[in-house]
Amino acid sequence: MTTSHPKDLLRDLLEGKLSSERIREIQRLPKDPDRFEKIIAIEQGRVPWPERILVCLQEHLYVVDKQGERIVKCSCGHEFGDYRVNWKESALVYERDPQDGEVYAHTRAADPEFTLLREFYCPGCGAQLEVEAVPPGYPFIFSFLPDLDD
Amino acid sequence: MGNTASEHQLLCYLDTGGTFTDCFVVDESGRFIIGKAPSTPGDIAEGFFNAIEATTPQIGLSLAAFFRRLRILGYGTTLVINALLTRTGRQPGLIITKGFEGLLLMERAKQTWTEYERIDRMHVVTHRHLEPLVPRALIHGITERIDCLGKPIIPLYEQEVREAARALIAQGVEAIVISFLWSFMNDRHERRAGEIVREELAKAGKDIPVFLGVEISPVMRELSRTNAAIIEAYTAPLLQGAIKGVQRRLGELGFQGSLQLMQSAGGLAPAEHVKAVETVQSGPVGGLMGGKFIGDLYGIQNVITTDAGGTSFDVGLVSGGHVNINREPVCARMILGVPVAEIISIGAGGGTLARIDPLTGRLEVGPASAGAVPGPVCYDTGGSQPTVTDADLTLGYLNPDYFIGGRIKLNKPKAEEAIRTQIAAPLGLSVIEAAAGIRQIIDAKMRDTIYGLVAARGLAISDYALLAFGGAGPTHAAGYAEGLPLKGVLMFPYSAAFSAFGAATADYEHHYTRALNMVVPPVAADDKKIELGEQLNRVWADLEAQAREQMAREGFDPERITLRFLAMIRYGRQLNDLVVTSPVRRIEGAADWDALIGAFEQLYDERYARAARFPEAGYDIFEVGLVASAEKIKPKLVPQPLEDAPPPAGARKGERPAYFDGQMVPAAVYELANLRPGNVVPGPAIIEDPTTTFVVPPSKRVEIDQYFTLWLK
Amino acid sequence: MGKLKEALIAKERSMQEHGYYEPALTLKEQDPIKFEVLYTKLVHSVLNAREVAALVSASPVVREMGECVFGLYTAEGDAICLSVGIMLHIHTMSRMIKWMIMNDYEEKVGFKEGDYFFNNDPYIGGTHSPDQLIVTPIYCEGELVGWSGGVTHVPETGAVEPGGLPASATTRFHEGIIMPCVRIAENDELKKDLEVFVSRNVRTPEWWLLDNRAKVAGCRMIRDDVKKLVTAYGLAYYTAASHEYIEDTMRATKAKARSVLFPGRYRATAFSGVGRRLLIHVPLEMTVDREGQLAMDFDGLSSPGAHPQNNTLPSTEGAFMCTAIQHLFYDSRYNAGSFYAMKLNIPAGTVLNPPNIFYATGLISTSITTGIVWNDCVSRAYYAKGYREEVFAPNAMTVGMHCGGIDQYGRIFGGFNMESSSCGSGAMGVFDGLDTAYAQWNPEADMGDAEVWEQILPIVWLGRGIQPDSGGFGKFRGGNAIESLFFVANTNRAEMGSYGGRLPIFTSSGIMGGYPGSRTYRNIIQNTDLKARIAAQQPLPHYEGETPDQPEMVRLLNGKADLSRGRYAARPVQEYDVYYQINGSGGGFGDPIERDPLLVQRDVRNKVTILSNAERIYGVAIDPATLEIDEAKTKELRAGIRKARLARGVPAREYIARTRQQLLNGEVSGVARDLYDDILRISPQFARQFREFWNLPEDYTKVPEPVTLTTG
Repeated sequence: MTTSHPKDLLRDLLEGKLSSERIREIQRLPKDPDRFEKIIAIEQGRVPWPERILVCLQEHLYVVDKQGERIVKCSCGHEFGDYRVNWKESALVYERDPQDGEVYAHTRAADPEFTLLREFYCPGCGAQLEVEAVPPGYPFIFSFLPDLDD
Repeated sequence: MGNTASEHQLLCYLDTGGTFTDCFVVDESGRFIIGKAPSTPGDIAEGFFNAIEATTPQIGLSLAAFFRRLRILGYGTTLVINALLTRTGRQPGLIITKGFEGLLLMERAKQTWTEYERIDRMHVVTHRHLEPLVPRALIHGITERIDCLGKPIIPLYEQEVREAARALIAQGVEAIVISFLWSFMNDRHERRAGEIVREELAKAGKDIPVFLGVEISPVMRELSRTNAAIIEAYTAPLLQGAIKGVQRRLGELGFQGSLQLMQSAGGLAPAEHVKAVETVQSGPVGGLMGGKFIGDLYGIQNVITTDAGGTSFDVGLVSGGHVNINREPVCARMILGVPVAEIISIGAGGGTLARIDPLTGRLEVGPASAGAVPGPVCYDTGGSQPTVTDADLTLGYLNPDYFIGGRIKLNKPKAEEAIRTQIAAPLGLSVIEAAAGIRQIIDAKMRDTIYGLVAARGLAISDYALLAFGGAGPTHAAGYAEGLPLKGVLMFPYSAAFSAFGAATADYEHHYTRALNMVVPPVAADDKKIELGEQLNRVWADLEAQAREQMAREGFDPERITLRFLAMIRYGRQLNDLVVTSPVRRIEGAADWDALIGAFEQLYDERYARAARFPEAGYDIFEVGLVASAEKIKPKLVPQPLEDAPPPAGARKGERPAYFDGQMVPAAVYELANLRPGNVVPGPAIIEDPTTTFVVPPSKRVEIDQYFTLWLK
Repeated sequence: MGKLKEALIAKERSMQEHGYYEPALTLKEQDPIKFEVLYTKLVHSVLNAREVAALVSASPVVREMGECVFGLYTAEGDAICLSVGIMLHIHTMSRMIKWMIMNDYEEKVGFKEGDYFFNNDPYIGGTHSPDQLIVTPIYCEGELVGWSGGVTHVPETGAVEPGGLPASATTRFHEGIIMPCVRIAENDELKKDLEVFVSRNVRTPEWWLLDNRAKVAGCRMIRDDVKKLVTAYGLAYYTAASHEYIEDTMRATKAKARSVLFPGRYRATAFSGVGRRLLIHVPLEMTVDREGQLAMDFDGLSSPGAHPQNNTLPSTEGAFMCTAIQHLFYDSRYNAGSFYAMKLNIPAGTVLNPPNIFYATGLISTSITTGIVWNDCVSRAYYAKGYREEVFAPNAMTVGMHCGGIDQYGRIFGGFNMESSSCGSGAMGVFDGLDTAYAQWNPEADMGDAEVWEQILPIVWLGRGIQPDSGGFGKFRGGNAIESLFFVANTNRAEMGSYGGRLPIFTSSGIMGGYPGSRTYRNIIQNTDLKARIAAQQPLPHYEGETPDQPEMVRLLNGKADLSRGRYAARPVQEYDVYYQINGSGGGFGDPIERDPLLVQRDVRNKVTILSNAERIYGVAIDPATLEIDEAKTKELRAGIRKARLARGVPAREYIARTRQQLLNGEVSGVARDLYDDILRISPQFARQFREFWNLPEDYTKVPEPVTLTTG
């Protein structure tokens, strides 16, 4: 008997509305094969734009089909361009001295000689999409290049 | 079964299960009968009296006459564990050593995964913290400290205690728990804090119970001890309330005897003297008590009890005539510093579900269960996934028209269809083969659990006899006992109510422990041994006085009390100790000391093989104990004359095909009630009874002895 | 050449040629039930062995943390099944067996029933020298049909520092007694002379010696069970089945990856900091193809060095598998199959595969870091496929205190408090990480009761609890670390130090907008006035408090303070010296200002988030008096945070151009410079990506010295 979860349950799951015990029940079950299609459908229903979602890249970011073009698009509508190029190169960047006292107490933060915080924001909505903790001069990390070619 | 009781004193035991409350009545001569009524989770007292009312007519007594003769009313309650699971206790506040206010939120990481299945232990995103019984806002830290040697290394800052007490009173808590580190080594700070809190309560004119960690659980490990104290505070008021209710009603009914509660460690004690936390796991204990009783009856020192029900398979051990005790149990996902009878439970029973893993094509049986709802497919109550019961039915072991005496009609075609489509087809097997596979796997799991419990304690299974009871026990015993080099496999006519029977056989018992800090060098001179011995004697004497005082208060004749002196001994720096029953009541000289250590070494050998010995490390003793017990009225199995081996004609109901050794073969079907002592039922056979079904394979036979015990041979 | 060696070589060859372990699953197809039932029996056997061992064992690591694993292996040394426990060891015992076979032990040393071989050489098997492995051959019908093995972590190895994890080690030869594949027992009897050797070379010999007994007892149980099963099932069936279980797992592993991971290329990088100077680079490129083939490429690793954070190949494979099993293969059979199902590249000559056995390897923080990058990559692959509940943000590095000397009973001792086993876990994709309840290397994490440690070590806790706001901030936050403040008691003849890695950097990484978990550190104050304060019943330090930059221990105590917060070698300590330690915490998930205000409120009520952080980082306004949420103000705060981001963020292209110039001018920190100079040299692949990304010339092979103007 293969598992399958109702769409409403999955919506609540990805919106963080389920109790941790309920989530545990889902985690313990064998994985539901129809999950991908259902999540895509749910996400499609949550975004304000029409383009078809091909894959959810990460929080806020989707690879969508825009008239045959595959681009990275934010939930707010901002477009980052071709999915084969790291979206970070079209984002806003803020390089933070971890010991600036704004996020971490001084003692709790990494030594800036070793590590800087690189915060990537969506130019459209200001969502914080990624935080890299890397030494100065480290190349942007291209986290995920989905295999979409058929 | 026992005949009707005449003008004798009576003992009655009530076992409140999830679905039924079993009522077990025995008279002085040991004759007994069993009645049952549906449990009433809402008001325990109701199910309690219903069960009694359902039983007394069978004895031919009016309620009044019954209660006039009733001396002891024993009772196994699930109230405490239910209150924990449903979070319906009283709200305590906690006063704890400063710096440990976060203890309950942090708990021990172990509590986030303990009791999980093997897969979930590895699948770490399933791990969860337990919501504390005391919210952070009701926890107050006090500066004070005792160290591991029992030395007050930071004095008690008394003013902080006063402020904490006032704050908790203002916060409207319903009980106050005080738990300080190492209080079991030196309780001065905890007791003084208790006095201060009571003073503050008096000033505020509040009547709120105060619980000290050292009084509830005087053993090492701050979380286990604090958990126990909190559970006591959380549930004791409920339990005492319920007991008062029952006692009032009993009084009205003319009951003059004593109401006794079953304790998690086994043994009954007067209800008004029992700690709530010590009843937390009293449910499955009855079976173990029964195991001990049966063992004594047949002179078998070592017994394995197996209770197979609808959802779980519970295994317990009686070793050397004593029930194995777990001193660090987990209840409702809390690690507790109270002794409970050791019972290993796995998800395996009639309702256990079978499925094919879509990725690997592996047939998996359990641990998930269909429970009572939706239940097995054959119940026709909505269940769609095949269960063990469906397999048993398909294989011809169960009688579709005689399940629970015919109260539930089983839909065989539906069960077969579910197994065909969901198990047989994917594996390319026939329905029968698939059903047999389900049974093989569940039996193997049960067998491995039994073997594991024994082997993992370094014990030898060949020293043990196995008792099979519970609704599904006799149906699967032949399967799960197969290949185990046991001394024997025993089953009982009152199988389904064996727990109630067992509980009724329990003695009065109290367990006492005390911590100390004894580091024994590998080579000790005689005077050192005597010095250590005196240290032990002092603690044993304290515990004995405590025990005698309590049992006197509970109205026992000192002559009838038997005492077992314990020392928990380990090799130097080992972390697990063995509970050693001292060969002497007091250490009078070096020889006695050597005898005690000798007893440890011998036990150690039995457990872990000689090679594991390590006297070079010396010995540590961090805990000693005492078990005080007294006998009481018990059921007696009255031997009956043995009749001929061939069962009487009336016993045989007919025959039906059942699965044995790879094929369906005709098996004779008997009615248990019509079999007689001395009868021998050769396999293949099935013995039916309203409460259970006994399966006898071709290679085996069942012999019924003078006590109507069924021996599978 | 010995029979085993021939068989092993043949097996390895055929696997390389065909890519499978067994061509077919004949027995499984013939009788799936029989096949499954035998496996259940084998699993129970190793589980039972583990239970017995845990009872006999003395080492607190086994009793309190369950760091104890038993396994059953094929004659060639491939794992058939393992108990639960620390899956680091799924592969390390296998390595040990194969090492003996390849080094001709069969002929030169000889195997026979009742022999037990001991190894704690991490270059052969185990993850570091405290990991002590014992294996015994299983004979049936006169033939060696397999091995049973057990491993426990023994927290004292007679190293230059107590506790088995010497932070000051710069070569293998500071790391205590290392016995490579030595026969310690014959005819099931431990050799007395070896016990004498151990008892005079380590600080707490009882742990080592009792654990030997524990492992021998466990190995023996498994051996005897297997012999019975072989009799019952027949040798041919047993041997064939044991190989099929491995092939079955290989197939299941690929099927699992195919069904739950989105195909594509994933990249993550994490670092392991060493002391005050050095940063170790741990990059992972993971590819998942449509058939579920996983390839893990660690090209770009740093060089090994004179520090204890180099790790051996067995250690790296172990650490990696440990995470892989928890995060993806938890529901498969735990055996060699899942290992063989993956392509793993750990370049030779690097910090995780040193060129020779000279390098110190005591602190396994670098090999554990492979799990951090795994968490990152696999979480994204689950996410894309829709399985948000399996997203597990990168986890923490662990640290701890170790000490030795004369204990409160006057005995010689050495050991450590294993609170390192209870960090905060990474955030999940749909809820918060666990506080103080997880260690990457120990799925069955536990910190034990303080009373147990105080009974073993001469210390007294002043405070032990959840470190507020240490977990990475995020929509779902990382689990918080455990913090401990204690003082030395009842001895003046002791030394105390600290171990642990990833200093002085963040302990974990955030994911998809979440922040990393805060840094781990420890402070010590010696010659304090604590005793006097206690006598005067003055307030005492218990936690770090709400102002980490001015911790309670500093505000309330006088004495000689070392607040360097780095790792330090064991130093002499005396009564009332006070030690503080904060352990690792998990990375956060998602944008912090999207966190449900109710979760923030709950944390504030539980005193694990302080009000100022609730407001500044989560943009949630909570009334200090009532702890109620002010929704209007919260909206405002969050809008403000967004605006500030848009204002301070610079377009990536500008940022890249600016940073490129800094690289050309050599304007990066010395630490970064050393890092790049090293990996640009040893990893052509990284060098290419580095130059491509920053658009640097082909001859950019090291970071130039910065120009310094000389003024006359």
